[in-house]
Amino acid sequence: MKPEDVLAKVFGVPAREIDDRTSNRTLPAWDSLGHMTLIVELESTYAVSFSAEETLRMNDLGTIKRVLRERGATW
Amino acid sequence: MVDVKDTAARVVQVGDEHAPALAEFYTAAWGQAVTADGVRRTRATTAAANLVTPGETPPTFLFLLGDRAVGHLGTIPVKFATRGGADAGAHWLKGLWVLPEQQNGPVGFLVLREATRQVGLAMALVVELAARRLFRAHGFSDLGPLPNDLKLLRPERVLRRIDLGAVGLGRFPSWLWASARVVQWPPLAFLGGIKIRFATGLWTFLRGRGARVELGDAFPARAELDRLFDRMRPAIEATVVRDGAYLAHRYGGRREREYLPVPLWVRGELTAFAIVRRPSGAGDPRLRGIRVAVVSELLYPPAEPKLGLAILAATERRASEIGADAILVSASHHAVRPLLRRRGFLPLPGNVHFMVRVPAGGPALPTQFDRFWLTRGDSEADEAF
Repeated sequence: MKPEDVLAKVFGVPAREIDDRTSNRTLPAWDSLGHMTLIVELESTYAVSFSAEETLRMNDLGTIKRVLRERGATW
Repeated sequence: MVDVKDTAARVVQVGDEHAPALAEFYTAAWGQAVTADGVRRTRATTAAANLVTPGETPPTFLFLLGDRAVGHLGTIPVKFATRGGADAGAHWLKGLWVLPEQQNGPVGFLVLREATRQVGLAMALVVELAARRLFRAHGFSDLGPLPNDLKLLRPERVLRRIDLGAVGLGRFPSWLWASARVVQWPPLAFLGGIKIRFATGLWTFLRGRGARVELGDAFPARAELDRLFDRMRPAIEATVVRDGAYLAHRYGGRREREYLPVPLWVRGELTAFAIVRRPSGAGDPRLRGIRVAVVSELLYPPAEPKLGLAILAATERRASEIGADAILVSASHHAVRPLLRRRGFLPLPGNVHFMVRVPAGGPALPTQFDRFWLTRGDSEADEAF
């Protein structure tokens, strides 16, 4: 599953409307609770574990992809 | 899974060593000119006044990035009473805030998670939908909004100034709505006000007269307040313990300048008590300078509606004496609601939701909001009006 699809599933928006600039400032459903739901979903999907600093930085899809690659995740 | 404790980003329960970070956060978040020494002094004061665990500072939680606080949650300790049960320690959670650059991230979630792990029985009065979702995710039940009821004491002045649409006046009775639209034209404001005064006065005379009592103006002794609360509590399923110690701590001392005590006496016995908060200088911008007094606290035995009517009448009188244009009551209990109608109060939409979380082994609480005795002064929610 691509990260775009994870975001689409968590926030209930079509994947085609999501790109690397999609962020917690552009999606109304991406609030504090939505962020934690997304983190848990990403950890489960890619079998990785994020540090606190990483979760703080992962506020847009571009950064999420970068952190996932650093963790060795593929999609 | 994310763990925030062993890194530079972490949630901490505040100790004196975090006073500089807390002071900086208050300034950044709320524009308060606070120093680290001021924070330490306040912590010492609140520890001494802690009603649940005297001498202990009420828990405050910060999300720290290095030495900088970016998220905050404070608590107010109270004793909580349930019918037939022993009083339990509880905390109002208050001041959940995240600095703008970290909003919509994990900070609010993690600060609240740490707080719920530490405090046991927890309650909050919450407005924003996003915050309510966050509380629900941590096991809080949303029991609904605290009802608001307003009575116009100077209707002509209120009608001339108020933004009718913005305050939801469309929910008022049609005769009042129609009158209001016409009399907002200044020359007619006086006549419209008289009409409303007459209608409200007649209604109150016919339906809302209370018991014969003596109205005082001094803060009663703690023992008198204890006796009054002891008379109330058998009829209430769940409430903050509103005894003399609590009321004196919450509204007495230096706070008496903004809070007016309204005691009612019958043959030397305190039979009902209320606290009226003076209209704030700034207030809600939608009110356009209208002065609204708030009933922060209301105590009377729920089985005695005549006393309830009398204490409501006394709060209206006291509010008029201090120049209020209107008076607001926010009260949850089912016994109070019909009395407000009988006194000519009009319902406004509620927006402050009561959230409660009972830990494993905690007291059994009612699931219906109107079984709780809550008023606007709880969790210091009267500051927001």
